[in-house]
Amino acid sequence: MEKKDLKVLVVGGSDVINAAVKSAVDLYSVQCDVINIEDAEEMIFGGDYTHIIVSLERDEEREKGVIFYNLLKIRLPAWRKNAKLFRAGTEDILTDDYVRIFSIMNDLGKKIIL
Amino acid sequence: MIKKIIVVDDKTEELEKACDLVMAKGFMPLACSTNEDAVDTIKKYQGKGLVGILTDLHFPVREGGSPEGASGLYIVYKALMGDISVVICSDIDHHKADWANELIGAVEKATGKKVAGFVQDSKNWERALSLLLNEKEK
Repeated sequence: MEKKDLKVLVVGGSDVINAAVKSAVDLYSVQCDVINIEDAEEMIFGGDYTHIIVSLERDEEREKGVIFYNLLKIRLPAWRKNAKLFRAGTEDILTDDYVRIFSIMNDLGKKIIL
Repeated sequence: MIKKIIVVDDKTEELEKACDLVMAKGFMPLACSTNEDAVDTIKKYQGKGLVGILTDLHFPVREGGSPEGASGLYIVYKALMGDISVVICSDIDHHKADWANELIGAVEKATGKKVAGFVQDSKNWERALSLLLNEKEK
């Protein structure tokens, strides 16, 4: 997929992490929207995002983010959406679906932009 | 506001089949595979475009849990308590349907409200959706 065709949605309850992820995506000149968890489902259902990043880190929102991420694993295929699903956080997790905030540029470059 | 229908089943292929039908009718399906997901989704969308619920009877209460037991009855109870239309769609056979009908009757008695339908013997989501939409037209 070419860079011009990428459309990223950042979902999460932490403004700081949302902004960090969006800023990093913007630096690659890729389309990117940000939305809170409460309003995200309608946006995803009606949209054509290629990548969705759910940010997990902020203590009181952490569980909410994990629950939403797990829910999207069920709902995306049910909506016939092909968007690739990612989590973003500050842990040093190396799996392909995890975007590490501390090395976000590196992870975005390797795992999304390609 | 997009009109939404919650669909509950622990089997992915059944969820996708039901959600395809719901989308074909112009609604946004909200797929749930556990009791907890379904209750959270009811809370989130009640009064926000939620039209009704299509639910299986047997599925796990928690992710990774055992599907034994009629967990769907809890969803039925929550739906009726919230005045939300609900249709049960289960491939439960005739022999087991007797106790299921009794339990559903007990839930209806407790809430003072009726389920919009109970599709038995086969997972006929089309029939279940039709019952739900008929109920909404009344």
